[in-house]
Amino acid sequence: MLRTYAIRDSRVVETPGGPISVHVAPGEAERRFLVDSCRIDEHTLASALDPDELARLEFEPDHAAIIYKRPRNYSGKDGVQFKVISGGIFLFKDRIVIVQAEDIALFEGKQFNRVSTLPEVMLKLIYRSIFHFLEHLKIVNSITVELEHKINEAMENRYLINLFGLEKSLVYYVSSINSNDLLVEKIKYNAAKFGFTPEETEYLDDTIIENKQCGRQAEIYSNILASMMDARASIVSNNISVLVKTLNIITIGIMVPTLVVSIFSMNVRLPIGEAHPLAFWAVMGMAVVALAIFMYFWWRKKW
Amino acid sequence: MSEKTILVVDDDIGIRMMMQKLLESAGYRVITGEEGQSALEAALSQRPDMVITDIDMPVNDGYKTIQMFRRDSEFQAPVIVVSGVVDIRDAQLVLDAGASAFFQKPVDQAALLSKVSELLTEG
Repeated sequence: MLRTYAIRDSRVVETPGGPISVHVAPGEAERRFLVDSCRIDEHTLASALDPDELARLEFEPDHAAIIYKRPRNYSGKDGVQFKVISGGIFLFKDRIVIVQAEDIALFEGKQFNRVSTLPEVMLKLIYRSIFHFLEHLKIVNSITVELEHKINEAMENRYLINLFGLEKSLVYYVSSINSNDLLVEKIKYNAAKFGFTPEETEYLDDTIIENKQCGRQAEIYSNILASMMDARASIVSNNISVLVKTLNIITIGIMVPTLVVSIFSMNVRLPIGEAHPLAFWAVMGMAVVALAIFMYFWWRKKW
Repeated sequence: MSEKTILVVDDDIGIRMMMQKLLESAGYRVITGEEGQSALEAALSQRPDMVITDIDMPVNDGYKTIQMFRRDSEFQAPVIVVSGVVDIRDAQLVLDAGASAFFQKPVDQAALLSKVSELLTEG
């Protein structure tokens, strides 16, 4: 699917035949066009659509190829797991080609309120992906807090499995943000080749700082989640132990009077004959006393 | 904007949190529910201005939840369904059950916010 955009009144707006073309999950014909007409390297094009590819910058004779990482929109299909995807930005002198595997709103957010040049569009796309990572990190943190509350009372593994999913997501996020970090550093070293204006260079510096902060935040969340995982597993295990203990008290509490009643049910000569008018109440009384002794013993032992 | 209340119902904690953050950042008050029955109780007690619900949920699924909302003559808030189902017939079913709009997961956030705003303005 191809959509084209142009910069109008400092905004990116959908325009037929505009210099910004976005190819979403390109089919065979679109790929051939990108390789043959735009002279995009086939391997680099495949990298832009491969979620496992690392971020990188390559210079071709007539364009710069940028593979960057961004979070995948959360769908809940794979449990509580946040995933990353790759995207490709191919910056030519007079146009920019963007290739991505999924249809994600690219030019939204305050970053795109004022745009004037194509290199700026490229920088803002990278900045937008960092912002997207930060948004997801906040959500991951909120989910962690809610899951922690649930785990305090939980006796099933569901919430622990959710936390494992979040832990795994954060490992992917840290790796992707670090990969983007190397990319923006490399863009900075090659700023002269891009011909950035002073404002764009300043924006690139801000992007580098923002990405580093994002990376540190992801690392901190990941470390906290990983280090507390065993403790949380123990809480679930302990909750089950408490439940088993309660069930044991109930079971033994029922067994003790049953024992007393069973003794008086034997087919042998008993101290209280069945003809005695208080026989039933005497047996019941002994059962209650036995239960009371057991409960007192339990209470004294503080089990 | 006067603070409108939106009830978000989804058994997936990630979706609930995403929606909550998105809607709160747009200035709405958000209450959440994990499944249809608790959503119905929340809707009856807190009277939200809108409900955003999933279809595939434990206890009462999305269809039943919408039908229960629609049976209550006092509760006429619009219902938006956000679901992972890909079959167009499912989308038609929820619209027939009384939903005001249908979005597929992963949801287009801008489109959802626009629809929420439109339906709340109409109401």
